[in-house]
Amino acid sequence: MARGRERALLGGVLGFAGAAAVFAALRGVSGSVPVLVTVGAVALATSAHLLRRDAEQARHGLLLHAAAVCLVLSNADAVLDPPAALIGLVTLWWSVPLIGVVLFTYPGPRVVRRWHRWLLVAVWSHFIVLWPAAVLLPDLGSMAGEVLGGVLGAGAVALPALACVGLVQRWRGAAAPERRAVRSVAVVGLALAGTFCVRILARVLADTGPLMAAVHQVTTTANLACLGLAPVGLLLEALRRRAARAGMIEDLLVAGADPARIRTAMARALEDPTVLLQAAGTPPGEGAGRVRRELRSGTGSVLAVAEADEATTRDPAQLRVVLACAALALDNARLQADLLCTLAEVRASRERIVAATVRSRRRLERDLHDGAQQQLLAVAATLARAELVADGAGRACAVREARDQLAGALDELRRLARGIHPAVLTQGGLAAALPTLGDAAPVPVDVEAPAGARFPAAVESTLWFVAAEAVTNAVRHGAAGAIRITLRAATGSATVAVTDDGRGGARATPGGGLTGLADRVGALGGTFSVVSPLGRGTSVEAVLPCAS
Amino acid sequence: MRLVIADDSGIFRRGLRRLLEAAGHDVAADAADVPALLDAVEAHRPDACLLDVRMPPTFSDEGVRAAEEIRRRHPTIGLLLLSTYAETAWAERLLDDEGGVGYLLKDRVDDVAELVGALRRVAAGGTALDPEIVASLVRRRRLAGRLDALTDRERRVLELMARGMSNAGIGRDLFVSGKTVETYAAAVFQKLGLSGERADRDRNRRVLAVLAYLQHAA
Repeated sequence: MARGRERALLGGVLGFAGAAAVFAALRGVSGSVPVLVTVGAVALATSAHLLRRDAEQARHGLLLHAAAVCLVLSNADAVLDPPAALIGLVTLWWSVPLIGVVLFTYPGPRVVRRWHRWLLVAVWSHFIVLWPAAVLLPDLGSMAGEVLGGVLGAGAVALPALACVGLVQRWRGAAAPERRAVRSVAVVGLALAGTFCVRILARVLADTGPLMAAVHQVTTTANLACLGLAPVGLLLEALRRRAARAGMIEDLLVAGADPARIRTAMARALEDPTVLLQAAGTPPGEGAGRVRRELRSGTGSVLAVAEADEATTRDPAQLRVVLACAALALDNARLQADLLCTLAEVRASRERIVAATVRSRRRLERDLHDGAQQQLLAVAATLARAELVADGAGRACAVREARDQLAGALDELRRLARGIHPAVLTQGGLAAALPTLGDAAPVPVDVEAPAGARFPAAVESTLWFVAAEAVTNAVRHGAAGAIRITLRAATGSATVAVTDDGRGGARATPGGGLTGLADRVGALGGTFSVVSPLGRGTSVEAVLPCAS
Repeated sequence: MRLVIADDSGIFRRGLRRLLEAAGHDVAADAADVPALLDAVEAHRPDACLLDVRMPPTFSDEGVRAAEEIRRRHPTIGLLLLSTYAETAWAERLLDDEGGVGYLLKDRVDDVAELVGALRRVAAGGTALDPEIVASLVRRRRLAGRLDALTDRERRVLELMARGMSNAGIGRDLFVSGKTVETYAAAVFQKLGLSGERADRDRNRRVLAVLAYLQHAA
């Protein structure tokens, strides 16, 4: 909407300026004035259009738009007949105070020095009130007429002269990052005000001789040229501003994820080599003359704190865009780092799971080798001995011995198989399998599980493994007196908690049993936690997601 | 024979001890680990030792290293290593020895005659290799195609030779005379290009030659 209105305004100004120029040419109005006015109006309207796209520069844009309209109106006396031509005479200088405000504020939001403000009030009174009064009231009493004429004459010399002083003051006082912008408008203003001042002086002195008359001629032409070209200067500044913005955004995007390069790009964009980029939460340094701004991510978390010279706030739009770009680059870097970190964690846990699998296979081989295999070999040895024994009683004794050893071997195999994956878990689920953990434990194990609760096989197997390991740990390392196993089934998740009253102090160590449990639970997208304060028992909990 | 046995599994060690005692041998000591074994060897100077390959602390090759240590201290004591698995790598390591060493699967405890036979051979400075290990070596060679020239009989004789058996022993196994075995053996040596003269003189050297062939000519 705003864009559409702006375009309509721009189009109107351009169209009117063009039409006025064509009309002037058709009426045979000669001279460079209509052309200069047209060029100026077009340049002013275009720079206004460019500036108004910046929230902070919208006011400057509006002022330049108004100046463009006034400039076109001032052309009226050249193209219209009286009394309509009077419009041109009244508005002849109106664009000057409008542009003047821009010259003394741009790129900031307000006039900084008090006397500049008074100067602008005087300029506005002079051109917008006193000058039309003089034009519209030619028959003022002689006394008042003389006073008005005197004031206008004095103002015509003093105001441009004071404006020159003020602009030089602005130029010299300008600090980065507004320095370039201030210098651009100062050049435009000095050219305008300087030539105007000299032109008026020369006119006053024109009667003194042919030399001053010639000076008047030259300065008048120069002043008219400046009047036409000043808007072009402003247009160039508006273009420079946009180009600088684009270049700065490019710099920050190219800076990538490296905070040092981001800082350098920020320093260049803000023309402030003292810019610091600090970690969030860094305490502020010396506060005098410095500003601190937080750089936030898309989700609102503070990524870093930027510290810069206070002068950078004089162009808030520039500062805002630089901070936004830097935040974007940093956020990107952070996301990348997060991703890499997650990836590394996933890789590490995958490796740990593989290593744990290898370890458990090796342990299984050891258990088989040291247990059932040796027992069966002992059976073989005993049976071989039975063959050697001659008497019947001794042979029967040996065979009985072999049978006992065989029973031991079978027991051992059964125990081993149950440790890997008990048959009851497949048949009756965790509610049926968890109580069997108590059978083998030397301490009372209390099991609370909803009867008939079933989960996917991987979930049941993993929770079984967690519970079995936790019970083993509680007995072996925790010196527990009693153990409690709780199974909870919720919508979309299954939880097993094992608590004991042992000595506590259990910690997950690299390659340790708890880390292995955490990895197995993590591999299924679950969460695993251990709470084990010294002397106050251990609580192990695994929550696994499952579609139920 | 006076024997010392070493195995970390108590139940198997006891079973083995009682079996050997039932077979009429004197088991002077049984040890659960290498230090106890070495002490027992020093104390009793047995004719032969039976050692488990996997013993504490690392359960890898403690038995083999203990055997090497005993061999260094007392070259005349026969050493019979027992293992749950047939590892040809151990056999290869034993080939470096001059004899008096054997390597059997623990499964052989169900055949007292074979177990005692192997013990006697190593105690006498001979060699005893488990048939399964020899079979896997021969299988490997057959895959390489070099043993195809042998007849079935000759291959059987080769396997028995590799296990450390004498011509007379092989003859008993195959129900032929020792002379016939000699003929087969000569054919085998000739076909494989092994030095028959050296092999005939010394049974242990013969085993080493055959095993070396099976191991390294692959």
